[in-house]
Order: sequence, then C-alpha cells, then structure tokens
Amino acid sequence: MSLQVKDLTISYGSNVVLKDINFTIQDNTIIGLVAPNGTGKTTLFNAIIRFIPINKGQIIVDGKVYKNTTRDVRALHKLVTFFPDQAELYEDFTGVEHIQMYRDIWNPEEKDVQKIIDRLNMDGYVRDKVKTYSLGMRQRLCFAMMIAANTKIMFMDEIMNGLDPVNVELVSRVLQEIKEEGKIIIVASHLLGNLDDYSDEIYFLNNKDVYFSYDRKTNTREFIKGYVSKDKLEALQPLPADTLYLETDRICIPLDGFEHDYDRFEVVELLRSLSDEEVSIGVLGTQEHYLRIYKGEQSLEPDTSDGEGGQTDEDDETVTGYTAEESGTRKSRRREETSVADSDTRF
Amino acid sequence: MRIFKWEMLKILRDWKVRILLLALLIFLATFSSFYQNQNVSLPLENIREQYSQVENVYYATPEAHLETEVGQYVDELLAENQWLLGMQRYILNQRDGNTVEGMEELVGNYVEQGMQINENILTLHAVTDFESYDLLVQNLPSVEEAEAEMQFLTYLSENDVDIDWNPMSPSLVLFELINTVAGIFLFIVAAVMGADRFSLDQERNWSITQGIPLSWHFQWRMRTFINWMLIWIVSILGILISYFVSTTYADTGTLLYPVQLYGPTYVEHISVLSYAIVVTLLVMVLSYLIIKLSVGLSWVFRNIYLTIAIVVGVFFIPYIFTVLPAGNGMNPLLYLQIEPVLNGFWDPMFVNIPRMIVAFLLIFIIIEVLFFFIFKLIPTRTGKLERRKN
Repeated sequence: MSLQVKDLTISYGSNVVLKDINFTIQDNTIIGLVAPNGTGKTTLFNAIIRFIPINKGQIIVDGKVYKNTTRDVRALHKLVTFFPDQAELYEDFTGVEHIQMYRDIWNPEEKDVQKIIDRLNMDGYVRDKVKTYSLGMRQRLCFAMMIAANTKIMFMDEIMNGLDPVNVELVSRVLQEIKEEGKIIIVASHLLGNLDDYSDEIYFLNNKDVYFSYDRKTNTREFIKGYVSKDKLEALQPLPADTLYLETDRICIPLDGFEHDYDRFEVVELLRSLSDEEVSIGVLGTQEHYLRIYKGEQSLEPDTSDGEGGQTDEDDETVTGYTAEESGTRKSRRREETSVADSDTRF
Repeated sequence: MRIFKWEMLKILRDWKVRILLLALLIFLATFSSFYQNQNVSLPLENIREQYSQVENVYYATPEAHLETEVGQYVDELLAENQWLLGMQRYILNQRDGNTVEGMEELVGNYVEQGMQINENILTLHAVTDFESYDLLVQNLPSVEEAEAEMQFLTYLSENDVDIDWNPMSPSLVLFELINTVAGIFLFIVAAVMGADRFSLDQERNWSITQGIPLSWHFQWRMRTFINWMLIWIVSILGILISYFVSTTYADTGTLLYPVQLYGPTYVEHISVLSYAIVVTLLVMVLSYLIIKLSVGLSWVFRNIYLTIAIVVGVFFIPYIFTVLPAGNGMNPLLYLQIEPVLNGFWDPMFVNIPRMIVAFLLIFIIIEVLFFFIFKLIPTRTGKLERRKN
C-alpha cells in the first residue's frame, strides 16, 4: 500500500494555502506532520480525503488515482479515516456505541470491540454516556473509534490534545503497534518531542509546501544539545561547522566536529557551567528542526552589545546546510519547549 | 444495514423527535375521543329540511297552478315525496337500520324510499311546463345533488349497508381523521421532523458524520426513509387506537359505509375503508416527498425555522392556481394538496387519483435531480474549512 500526493494545490479564493505538494508514503509508516497553527495541516488532510475541493493535483493510493467523483470519494473513504473532533461526539451515545458505530461502518467483520476497550484502558467509563466524559476520556474514545475503523490510512489530527502523560505514552505505543499492521498513519501534533517517539518520518509544512522532511532512521548524526545565552556564547568559541544556534538559546553542536572525546566532554562541561539547563547528546529532534525552520537560526557571532539580545543570522543558507527560506520572527523568545528525544544521552 | 441502525438511533435519541412522535401519537389516538363536529349534519335533519321544503312549495304555489294536469302530476309527486320523507323520518328515529324490525311491511325500506324520492325529484326537475316551475326547483335539491344521492343509495343497496343516523360513528370519525391527516397537519409534522436532520450534524457532529464511505445522497435517502417510517408507525398506530377507542362507545357504523369521492359534478362513492386505505397510501407517498424535501433542505439551511417555513409554504402552492391558470391535470403542483383533489375542488375530469400518482412520480424525480446538484455543489458545512474545536 502506498499513498501518493502529486502536485497538490489548494486555495480558498485567491488565497493559496498549499501549492504543488508532492510526497509518497509507503505502508508501515507513521508520518509526523508539523507546522504552526494556520499553516495548512488540517487543510492537507481535508484535501487528501477530499473533504474540500482540490484546485490541482492528484491523490493516488496504490497507483489508483482517486478523482472527485462520488464513486471515487466513497472508495477513498473506505480506505481513509480522519480523527474525529472530540467536541463533536454524540452526547447521548455511550463510548461503546461510538466504537461499535465506527466498527460497523468500516470494519463490520470485527466482532469484538472489547479488545480495543481493554487496549486503551477504557473499561471504567466506556459504557457511560459521552456527555459525562472529560476531555481526555473523549480524546481516547476518538482514538478508539479510529482503531475500530481499522482503515489502511489514518489521519490523526491533534491526536494528543487533552491527554495526560500516561495516556500520551499509551496512545504513542498503540500507534506503533497498529503501524505494524501495514498502515499509513499521518499524525499532526504540537507535542514535538512525543512525535519523535513513534514517527518514522517528519514533514514540516511551510511556505505552502512540505518544506522539509527527515527520516528518523537515517538521521543519525549526533549533536551536543544544550542552552547558552548570547552573551556567553564566546566561551564556546571556536565552534565547529554545522553548529546550530536557535531561538530560545538552544545550541546544537555536531559531535563529529570534534576530533577527540575529551574535546566533546570539555564542551559538555562548559555548556553545563554556562547554563542550568540540561545538556544532552543525540540526533537533532523535531523540536530543533521546528525552531530552525519556523523561528530561524541566530548568529554564532558573539554578542557585542550588552543587554540587546542576540543578533540573528540573516542568510538563507545556514552553516548546517539546511535551507531556511522561511521568514519567522527572529526576536529572542522565552524558551517554549524543553522536551528532548528519548534517544538523547542526558548529562 | 448496520449504518441504518445507527442512523435510526441518532434520530430516536433526539428529544425533539421523541416529543414530536409522542405528541403525534396522543393527538391521533385521542382524536375520536375529543372530536367534535361543529357542522353536524344528521340524516334526520336533512330529511326534515327536505320535508319542510316540500311544504314550502305547497304554501307558495298558487292553488290554480296545481289544478292543471301538469300541476296535478307535480302535486302527486310532491305528495308521494312528503309521505316517503315522513316514513324515512320514522325509520331514522327508530335507529334500527334501513327499516324497523317487525314493521317492515308498514314502514318500508329507507333506501328504496330514498331512491323513489330522488327519482321523483329528477322527474320534477323535468316538468318545465309547470307554471310555478321556478318556485318548485328553488325548493328542491339540485339535479346533481339528487344524482349524487341516488348513487349513495344505490351503493347502500348494492352493498347491503344500513343508513347511519350517527355522524359521530367510528367509521365517519375515521373518515374525518384521515382527512385531517391528509391536510396541512402532515406538512407540519414532516417539516419539523426533517428540518434538522443534516443541520444537526453540521452543527454538532460534523467530523463524525463526514468521511464515512456512504454518499450524502445515500444518507439523505436513508434519513428520509427513517423519518418517514417513524412518522407512519406512530400515525397508523394512533389512527388504529382512535378507531378502536371510538368503537367502544359507539356501536353503529360500518367501514363499508359510503363516502363521496371527487365532487358534486362527478361523484363516485367508495367505502370508508377503501377511502381510508387510498388516502392513507396517497398521503404516505406525499409525506415521503415532503420529508425528502425537508431533510434535503436541512443540508442547505442550518436554520430549522427557515426549512420548516419553506416546506410548509409548499402546501400553499396549489392555491396559486386558483388565480393563475392551472393548466390541465398534468401540472404536478396541483397535487401537493390531496383533499382538494378528492373533494372535486379541481375538475375531476383532469385532476384525479391516477394523475396524482404520476404527479408524485414527477415530483420525486424533480427533488432527486435538484438535490443531486445540491449535494455536489455544497460539499462541506461552510464551503471552507473550519478549525477544530478541541
């Protein structure tokens, strides 16, 4: 099974939201879809599932083009499900009824929904009316409905909203399990660190396109990751090529930029002395890429004007070699995200 | 089929639907108990009226006019009618059927007498050379009325049905109830039931409804059928309860009792039972079309009051053709009201039940085509994307 999006363009009137998007996803894959609000994540989902008209482009599943005809759309909807909005559940139905309803629509051969209920620890509340549910309970129910539908392609928009850490971990684990059943799952989420837990590939939407993507399996280059303020940056000089200095004072220094282990250790120690924040070693995660793409990189030149904040790099081509065409606000910002990938070695 | 179950549950869990169906059941089931005919037309009173009309002719006609040969013939017929009417009054007063048990030889038979009366009336209408002819016909039932009455009595005779002295008998109350159901009442129920079938989804449950592998067209048909089915399960139940309740306190009447179809110029008589079945079937078809329209419009308009107003407004379309040319009987819009067709408001030569069935088929096709394009042209709830709420 494969899902191919070819030259997809979406516009509302004269406002072009997505332009010439191309990608192909093979089965057994979870794609993390990342973008700030209003960039077009949900629009992309809506276009692929043909909830909205497509101005240009093709949706191809297993080599078959699905056009905007009633027959094709119906056939497409047999293959694809979209994560329900938890505010739109039927208040007078129980959770079990919701799960059974999705099962009956998409997967009538499946007799036992209890397995799904047990798998998601919903037995304690799932027979109550939905109107008694909390936000997290509703969100888990929506996820259970998707599992019951069991379609080949699943679009999970804002899937972790309202979930506590235990349930985030539970849903992440189940996502990885169902992926192994030959599914294509696209997850849009703002929990960037969490995306690194289960995604195979991350797509970053920007400038109306999939601006950047990276495969987490092939992304093995390791960095020393920590925080350092602009005024203390001079202490780390000279820094190797491809060092990233991001908004929120995040710094990522490639391990392969040092010849000896003791040099690396020295940098780690130095970073720890310059900041109270955690220092780790690991591959660049979604968080770092997000900051780089949407907030831009700061200049590695030491700050010469006290109290003025960092001066940002104005070049489009950064030292890391990643294209940064995007125009983000480049003012210093409060640190917004501190989570790091589990694969990181922390100090 | 499984999705049918869920669509059904969605509708039944809606409190508005539950209340509406309950109100419908209570109204129909208690119709016979609370029904009060404000224009009671007792057969006995009709006979009395005719009797006094004959008397009027006698009082007003100059005696000399009745002494001519023609006058004497008229006098004989009038006298015979007066005598027969007197007998009929007696039979009706006894409330025993078409005759009085044990006195058959003496009082005769109501139906035979009635036929003789009407034959006499028709003969009197033909005596144009009677000097007080104008006065005479002014005080007689018209030729059409006499012919209709003849048909009515012939029906009674052929089907061995007794004259019903009681206009509140179960069969006649059933007749009234069926006529009520066939009127605007049905439009209102259908409009209210269907008015938020899609708007409710669009407002509250969009992300669940959208994206299921069933076309909107199919869902429209399914929801229409479910609403129609619920309305008719309740309606038929209510009608039956009403009928059986009325039989417990009124033992006269029969479902074979004749009622008039079409109108005074082209009368047919059929039994109450046939009338109830025919009208119910026609109303079932028409109500299906109305619900189809109402459910479809709920896709277009989220304001249920607007949908209800439009659907109820459709009921009044036939009135336009009392002002504008109605065309011949193939104008399908004439059939949006059943009762005027059945009571001969429109010329029954052109506007009749067979053509009504063709008209319903045409309306069905028009609605199908209309909504084929509507569902295609309005693919989402707003035509653009809405942000998720959670």
